[in-house]
This record gives sequence, C-alpha cells and structure tokens, in this order.
Amino acid sequence: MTAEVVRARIDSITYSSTDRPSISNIDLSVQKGDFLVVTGPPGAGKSTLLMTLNGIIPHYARAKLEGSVSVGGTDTKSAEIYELARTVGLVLEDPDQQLLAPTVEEEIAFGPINLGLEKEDIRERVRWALDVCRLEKYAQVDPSELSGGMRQALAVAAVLAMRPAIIALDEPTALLDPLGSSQLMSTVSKLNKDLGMTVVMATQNLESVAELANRLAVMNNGIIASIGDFGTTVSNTDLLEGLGINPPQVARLASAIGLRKIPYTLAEAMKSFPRPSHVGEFRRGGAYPSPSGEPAVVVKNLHHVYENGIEALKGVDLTVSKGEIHALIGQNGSGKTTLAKHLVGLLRPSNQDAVVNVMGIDVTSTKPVDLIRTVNYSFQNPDHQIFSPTVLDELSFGPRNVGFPDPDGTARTLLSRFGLEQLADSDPRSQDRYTKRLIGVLSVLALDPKVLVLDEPTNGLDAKSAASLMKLILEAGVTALLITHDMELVARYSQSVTVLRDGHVIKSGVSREVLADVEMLKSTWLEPPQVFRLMKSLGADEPVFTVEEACKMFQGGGA
Amino acid sequence: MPFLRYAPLNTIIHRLHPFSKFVFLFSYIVILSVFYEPVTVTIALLSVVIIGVLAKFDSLKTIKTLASPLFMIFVLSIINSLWMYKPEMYVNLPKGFATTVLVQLTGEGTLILGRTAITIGGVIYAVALSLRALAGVLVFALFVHATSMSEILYGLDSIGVPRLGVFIFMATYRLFPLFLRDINTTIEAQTLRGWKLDSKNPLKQAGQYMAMTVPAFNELTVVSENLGLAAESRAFGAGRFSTYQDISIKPLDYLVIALLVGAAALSVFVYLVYHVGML
Repeated sequence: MTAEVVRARIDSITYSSTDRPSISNIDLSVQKGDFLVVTGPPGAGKSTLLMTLNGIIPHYARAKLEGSVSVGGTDTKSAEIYELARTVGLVLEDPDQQLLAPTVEEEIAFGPINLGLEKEDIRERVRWALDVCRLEKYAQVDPSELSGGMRQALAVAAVLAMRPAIIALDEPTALLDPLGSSQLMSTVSKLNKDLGMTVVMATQNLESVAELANRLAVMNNGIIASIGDFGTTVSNTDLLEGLGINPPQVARLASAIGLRKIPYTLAEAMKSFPRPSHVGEFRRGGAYPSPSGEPAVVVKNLHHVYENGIEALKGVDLTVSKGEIHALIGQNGSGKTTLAKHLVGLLRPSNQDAVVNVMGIDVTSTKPVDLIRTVNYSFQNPDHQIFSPTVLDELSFGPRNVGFPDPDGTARTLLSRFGLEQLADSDPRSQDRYTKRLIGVLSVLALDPKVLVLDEPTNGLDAKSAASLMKLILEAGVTALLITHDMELVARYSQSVTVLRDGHVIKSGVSREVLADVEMLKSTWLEPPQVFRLMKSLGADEPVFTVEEACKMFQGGGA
Repeated sequence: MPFLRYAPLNTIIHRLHPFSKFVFLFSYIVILSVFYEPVTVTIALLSVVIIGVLAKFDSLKTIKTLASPLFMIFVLSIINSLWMYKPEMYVNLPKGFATTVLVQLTGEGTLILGRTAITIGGVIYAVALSLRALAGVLVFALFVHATSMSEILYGLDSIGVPRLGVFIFMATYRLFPLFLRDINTTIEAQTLRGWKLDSKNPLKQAGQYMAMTVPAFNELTVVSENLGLAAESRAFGAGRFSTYQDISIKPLDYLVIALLVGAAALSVFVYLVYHVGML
C-alpha cells in the first residue's frame, strides 16, 4: 500500500511582477516512493511547481498561492521553509543560487550541521556525497572556482547529504557531463528504490530518466497537459515534440519509422527495432558551411595553474579552421571554460612559451578589450551578461563602447534580422530563458566578431529553441567554438571536435570519427548519442548520430 | 579576490577554537576604536600582520589590493580634517606644530564652510584613519581566512547567540565574497563588450563606473536574497547547530583569549587614563 506524500491542489500561483498566473488548476498527488518527472517547455511552470514543495512559494518568492500544497501531511502555508527542509530537499536550476559556503566540504556539511546531526554522521554523509558527485578531490576548493557543471553537482550533493524523504530536482543534469548525469541519476534512483525516497524532477532530458521514472507529467502554459505512467506518457511523441520537448532518441526514431509499440529505453529498443534495410548505404551530407582550412585559432602548449594550485590546462594544443564550428567537449572540470577564457584574453597562460593566436593576433599580449571584435565569448549564464534596462540598450552597449557610427541602428538591424523587433524596449532580465540566451548571444554578435566562443549555448533550452539558436549562429557565419555536453548537438552542428580530459587534449579531429570512439569518450565521462548505440547494435557499419540519419537507414535515401 | 576568502589550512591560528577567533575579532575592534593617532594604530596594524604570518595570510597582497580604496579614505579624511586648525583639538601633539597650516583653503566668513585649511595635525589624523581602516580590513580578512563557516555557526551558537544574530553574522561573512564573485563575472562579460576604465580623470572614471552601479545593486539584492533562500532551504534555523570538525578549547586558546582581552582592556585603560592614542 502506498501513502500520499504530496498533495497539491493549486488554483493559481501569480508572481507579483505579473497579473497572469504562472500555473493554474493543478491537482497533483505524489505517492511515497514515486519517481515523478515533470517536463515541459521553458516557462511551462515546472520550477514554480517545484518551489511550492518546500515552501519557497508562498514564503519566499513574491508569489501568491491560491489553493494548498501538503507535504508529508504538513500544509506548506503553515510551516516555515526550514521546517519543510527536513522533509523536502530542493535543488534549484541555477547552482549559484544555492551555494553559500567557502569550501565544497562545508557546502555539503551545511545542511546536516543545521539538522544538528552527530559529528560522525555528518562526516559520513559528506564523504558519501563527495563520492557520489565526483567531488572528492575538490573538497577544500572554493565553490566559485569550480566549473558550472561541478557547481551543479555540488548543489545536488549538498541536498543529497540531508537525505530528505522527498527530493525535488530542477533540471539537475543540465550542466553535467553525460556519464556524470547518469551517475547522478543512478544515485537518485538508488535512493528512490533502496531507501524509498520520493523523487520529483523537472527536466527536459527525458532520455536520462527513461529507465528510472515511473510517472511523467507534461506541463504547458502553467497547466498539466498530460500525466500518467512514464512509458505511456512518453510514447505520446506528437504531444512532446509539439511542445518542443525531445522524447528519447529511440522513441523519436520508432515514431518516425512507424513502429507500433514505441520503446523509450535503449535496452527496450534493441529488442524491438528491426534490422535497418539500408545499412551501409547512408552517407551524410554537409548541412553546414565547409571550413576554409586556414586556421582561425591556434593554441600550442597552453598551461594554466589557478591561484589555488589547481592545474586546469596541461599543455593544450588546439587548431580551429576559419568558418568552422568546432566543439569542445569533456567531463566537468576538464578545462573547457578555462581554455575558452584564454582565447578571449580573460586568463593568461602560466607558461612563457604558450601560443594563443586568434585570427593572427597574439592573445597572450593583447588586452581583452582590444580583442572583442576579433574573438568574443557568450557566457554560460546569460544573467551575467545582461545588464541594460532594455533589449535595445543591451544590444547597442558593445557597439557604442567600440565607437560604431550608429549603435542603435546596429542593434535594431540585428533584432529585425532575427524577428525580434518587438523586444527592443522590453526589459531583458524579465525575459524567458531562451530569449535571455538569445539576447546574450546577439549582444556579442552585435560586435561582429570573427570568432565566437559559446559556453553551453543550448543549456536549459527545449529542442525547438536550441535548434533556432543554432540556426542563428550558423547564419551569423562566424567561426564558432561550442562548449557543450550535448552529444546530439555536437553531431548535428560541428565539423570538428576536441576532447579534453583533466586539462589534456585526448583527441581532436572530425566530429563523426571522434564521436564514434566510444571507449575514448567513456574515459572522459561522455557517451555518443543514444541512436548511435542503437544503430551499432543493429549492425549499422556507418556511424549514425541523429534520428534523421537513422531514419534514412530504415527508409533509404542516403544523402 | 585574494582576501575575504577562507583558506582551509592547518596553521596554529586555524587550529584555534572559534571562540578565540571571535575574541580576536572583537578585541581588535575595541583596540582600533580607541586609537586614532598613527603610532598606536601602526603598532596594532603590525601585530595583525604578525598574526597573519602565523596564519599564512598574505597581508602584503591584501594591502596592494586595497591601495585605491585606502587612498580614497585618505582623501576623505583630509577633507574631514579641514577644520582641525583649533589647538584645543589636540591633546598629545604640540599644539603649535599640529595647527601649522600647510594649505589655507577658505577664510573666516566663507559661506557655509567658514575657515578651512590643511594642517599638519589634519594630515596626521588622515594617515591614522587610513591605517586604522587598513588594520580593520586586515583583521576581518584574517578572521575570514582562518575561520570556516561551520566554525562560525558552531562558535556563535555555543555562546548563545540567537538564530537571527548567527544569520546576520554568516551573511556578513559570505555576502561580500559572493557579491564579488558575481560582479567580477559581470565585469568580465562587460569588458568583452568594450566597457573599460580608460580615463585618468577621476570624474570621467566615476562616470564609467556608473554603468556598473545599477547591475551591482541588482546583483547585491540577488545575492542577499539567494543567501537567505539557500540557508533556509537547507534547514538553517531548524535547531541547534552541530559540527563535523574536532573543535575543543585548548590551553593555547585560554592564553590567546587572555592576551587579547588583556590587550583590549589595556588599550581602553591607557586611552582613558593616560590619553594614549589621542592626537
């Protein structure tokens, strides 16, 4: 017999900044031991729903809750957040929003200390959480010195250490490398299965939870559009794709080739897919511009040692051709962002003989401000970039600083080129995640750099928004360096890839060849897209990375 | 930022009981509050630097980082001293020497300001205030450098400070470093969009900094809100704090506490009775 641990009867939740409810008419019941996934496009209301579970709404966020939410039998309106924290652990989407301690170890210990646990118990929990989230060697490091992915892992570790009865996670894997993500998922699953911990997780990455979750709720425009057992709900690929949510690749492929029963896990798919009829006939066409072969970026023997002694780069070499889209991949903390910051001059090499050359300019001896029209950088978190009162000001800020003759005109041209004229006078900070990301990229593109470094550009975006953003980057015609953990994105858009591990380049080359090296990828906590693994098991002799490519193997018509 | 950051080291200072570290902080607050002439303040400052060496704290680097704000404090103190030409304002300094006018700015009867002048006593006062500010920041930075957050929570809790007080202290301890982290990222991002401090003119420079004022205030609000949210979401205030560190009061702590309390009491005594530390 199961017991209800969450009962949400929400008429509406309205933030003080708007008149329109963010979510409405929610009637949700979660049973003890459930693993409920909440999915939906950005702005659907997923985060708002999760924030009701530990009382952030209505106690902390400026939002009015009409209705009631009961957690473990306690009405969240009548309990304080710190009281609810004993029952519900919430991991927010932005790790920087919840990290407050000066070291990783202290961050994890903070919750158990507040719970007044015994010394040995706290130590055991800290050790366990460090291990589970692969942070052991960073125990004494300041969290602000960790990469974005590692900070996200730390935020999860800090909540796991409290071992609450219910754990609510908002996009917990968005910044994690694929194997780190699956390790976290298996930990959460273990807590769910072995300890009976109830899990409520908001995510758009349905592939990562397909084997673990038992229920799925699909949200759109603040309401629950569909809810049911995971398999049945995820099989409704039309609904999900219509909302811009990617079902697992195998489900998309099954739906595309018309399989009657839609599998949603790799293991299931391996059993139910027929052998493709056109194995070996597929040849991939070039959807992206061909690189010129002339180097745009040349890095040789680059070392970087941070003040705390951590050696982030250990003799890195990198060459990117003009016009190329080059992906920089590797596990969390492998040195990707450090390398990117060297390319724009925000960091300086620790060794004298390092070469960092972009479009013929020696970056090591040039001020960042003098490089901005040659190479620029779009930050992982657009909130760090955006700071003007209107979108137009935001986009014209750079051109104005470098003396463009008509900065506002440049900004308006850019906005109209991407159909965003209506945003010109709006506040960039109040936009949804996709628009903020778009503004972040456009504000850099406004300077017309030759080389653009994009740090996790599609993180947190739904599939439709991610595709639009990538289209924008392709149309801009710049040489681009993509830092990402999204292997499908790499396969779809980049011609070449460099793989980093612990500050070393372990492989560099043509994307399709690099991504097919499963063992090498595994050594740096990466794995090729799901459809690659499926098609390989079905006997495909040509590496396949996208659903469209796999479809051609089943239906013929290789490019 | 090299300062205002906890360094997890195992020095003699780090190993002290959190209570001893609090006594260090408050004793120096007392000492620095009573002295406002350069010699005594310098002695206090040097003692902090020596303690810093024991804690492997790079005081010199911190002083270099603080050079510009210290200069600003010196300038503001000079402005504040423009009326210090009256002999009765000085107790220890020879009155004739202290009131020697270096630069006469305005004369008697000047609207609102009256007479203003830069005097030798005023300059000495400005130097003392700047040194005092430097020593104060070094004391706090050294405290942060050697005290972990869990020690702070445990230390304050064990001496009976109420939850709100603990939170205010923790927020003070963390707010500035977290704010600096975020604002540094914002500055990096804006630098890459051509924002620069390229003027030698302080007024123009102030104008360039203005561009960062609104985002800085926004960031400060966001950081302080996040700090409260992060703390409450992880059961801050749910009960008594425990610790996972081996914290016990040792004979060395008693000695340190006695020395610090003694030094603070002595400072107050010599100030009140012998006027030591006055100009």
